[in-house]
Amino acid sequence: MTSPRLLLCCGTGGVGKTTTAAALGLAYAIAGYRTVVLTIDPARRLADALGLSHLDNDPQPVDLSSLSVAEGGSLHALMLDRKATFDNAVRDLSTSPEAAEKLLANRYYQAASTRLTGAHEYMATEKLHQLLTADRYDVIIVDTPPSRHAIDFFLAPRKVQELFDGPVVRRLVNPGRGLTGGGTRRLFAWVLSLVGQDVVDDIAEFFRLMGGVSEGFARHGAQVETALHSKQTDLLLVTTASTASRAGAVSFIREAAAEGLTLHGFVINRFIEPVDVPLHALHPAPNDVSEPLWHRWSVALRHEAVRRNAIAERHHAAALDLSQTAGQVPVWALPLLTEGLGSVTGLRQLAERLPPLTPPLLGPQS
Amino acid sequence: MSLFNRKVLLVAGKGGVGRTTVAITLGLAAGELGLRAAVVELYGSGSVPPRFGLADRSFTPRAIAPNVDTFSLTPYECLDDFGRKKLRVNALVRMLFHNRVFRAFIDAVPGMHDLFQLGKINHLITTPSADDPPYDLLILDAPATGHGLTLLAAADSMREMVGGGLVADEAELIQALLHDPERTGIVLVTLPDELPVNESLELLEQLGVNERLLAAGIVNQVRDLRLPEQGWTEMAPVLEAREGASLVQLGRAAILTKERQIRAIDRFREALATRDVPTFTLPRIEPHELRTSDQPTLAEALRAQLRAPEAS
Repeated sequence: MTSPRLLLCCGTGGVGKTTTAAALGLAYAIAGYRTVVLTIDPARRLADALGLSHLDNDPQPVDLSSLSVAEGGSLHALMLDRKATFDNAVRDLSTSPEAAEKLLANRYYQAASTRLTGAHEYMATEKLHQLLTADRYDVIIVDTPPSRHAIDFFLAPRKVQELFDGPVVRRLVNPGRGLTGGGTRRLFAWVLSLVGQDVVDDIAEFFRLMGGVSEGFARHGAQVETALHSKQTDLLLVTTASTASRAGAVSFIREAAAEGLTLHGFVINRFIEPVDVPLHALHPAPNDVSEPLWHRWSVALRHEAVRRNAIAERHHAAALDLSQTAGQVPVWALPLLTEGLGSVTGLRQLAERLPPLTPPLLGPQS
Repeated sequence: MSLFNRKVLLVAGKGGVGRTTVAITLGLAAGELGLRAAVVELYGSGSVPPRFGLADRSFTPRAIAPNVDTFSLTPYECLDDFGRKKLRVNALVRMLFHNRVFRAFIDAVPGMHDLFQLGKINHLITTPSADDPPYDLLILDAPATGHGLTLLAAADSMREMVGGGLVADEAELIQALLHDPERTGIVLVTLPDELPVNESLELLEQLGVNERLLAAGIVNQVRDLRLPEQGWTEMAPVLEAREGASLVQLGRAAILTKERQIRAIDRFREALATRDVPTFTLPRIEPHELRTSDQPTLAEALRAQLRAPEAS
């Protein structure tokens, strides 16, 4: 079994990460790879385009019959359902069905499995573990969850390992032990006065029950962490040309480097290309159109061309700047589509501008 | 009810719609009307200060305009503040707030971080200390994760989980503020295009009981596409014959963009109108990026619409 290629679409919220991940998946399918896209919360039209009109936590085939696809290429898509993923993992990893049901019924578990800080990231890695071990795909594309810091996704496996092995858990699971220091006693008095005995009991039971499955969670976490750092894994940073999202991109590059992750390239979304229009030739008006009408339109078109080109110039400078900041990594650019993304044919307009179907706009042309 | 007659405005919307810009615009417009307002960033965000030449985030309020402050909250700063002002706890207990075990516990309880920050908001509104500025209006720039409405659920889920203790008491007070449409309003921000408007309308459907908090819709970054109303059908073939395809493509793209923008704004406006909620628009500043000097322009654009009779 050869391990699949893993492509992770990272980036802050609002840059079009989910759309890019879907288009990238389509690009790899068209190029002949067995591809799966793990999306997080796609907008409805994108979900429709992928045939994911209902929430489904397992890969569904996307109908590509309207497109010309290279031999062997296929596309599956799934949408992460945190709760279902967590529940399934608990059932798989529990020592007995009874133990699993007891944990699933715990009040704290029910709140924690969807709302715990980082639960989204962690469940994405759990799902990723399933896809990595499925042996059905050549390429796995992951739309990482929206977070304040794009790097959170990569830290999640380790954070959960720490949570289940932390001092709090040991204390809560076994509160009678080690409560000798005055500070600790006072601390627990405070915790009780803050949230009451019920919550402390619930949480203690939660961690006690989680004790049975935490080893499995930690093992999966470790496997995913290894996969994230492997040579088969590439990070694509999705951004826009705006100053704010570029600033987010630059800080991500720094954090990723500190984590030993390398950036494969950028995808700049909503990229405006310059228009080449013969503005000088607009006067005088030809005979078959009235002079005022011609004048009004030529002024409007000139205004529009100047506006577009000023933005295009700024976007091109931004692309160069990004590529250099990250050490000459390749940059792909996606246009702002004037027609919607309601079908795979619409999505193909973006796929055609992405790897492996097209070389980058900037950077090494390999 | 006028938009600014509330105590708290929660700026909500998907990532990338310009929530921070809208929050600042609301703050400046309220300040010009003579209200004491603050733009509040949560989870330690610090996007507002650099736009006004201030370094970094700060828990302590700083002025960004006459009558308008900004500050940024983190859960632990709020907890410290709570301990100092409300519990009047001694230094030893406050040290416990910094204890690693205690922090790990706090981090593990869902909604606790939200609750501390909302507690600070609630105290500023209902029981300000002598050294707190007397704010008329707090504008919350919701965190970048999700769409900001999870904040509303935080107090509810704490009440569900926590039977007693100080946290339950706090959660109850916060619920009272956040569920009161007289005092709390949601400002839903979107962009003038099909996809963002669809997402906003989906968000609207998910509001449930919180729908009555909806105070205004704002379509941000509306392009000023100045195109003649008529004559394109006459123009296009002549242009194509004389100048080639590029000008025609440019014109067609501009027309399509304009039509899409109008359609998107209309759909959003209608959806809010059926709920008796006004919609305002803010212009997109082009071709350069938004600059500090553009903020008053946006605030004036909003004020002009607030003055208009149909908005009252």
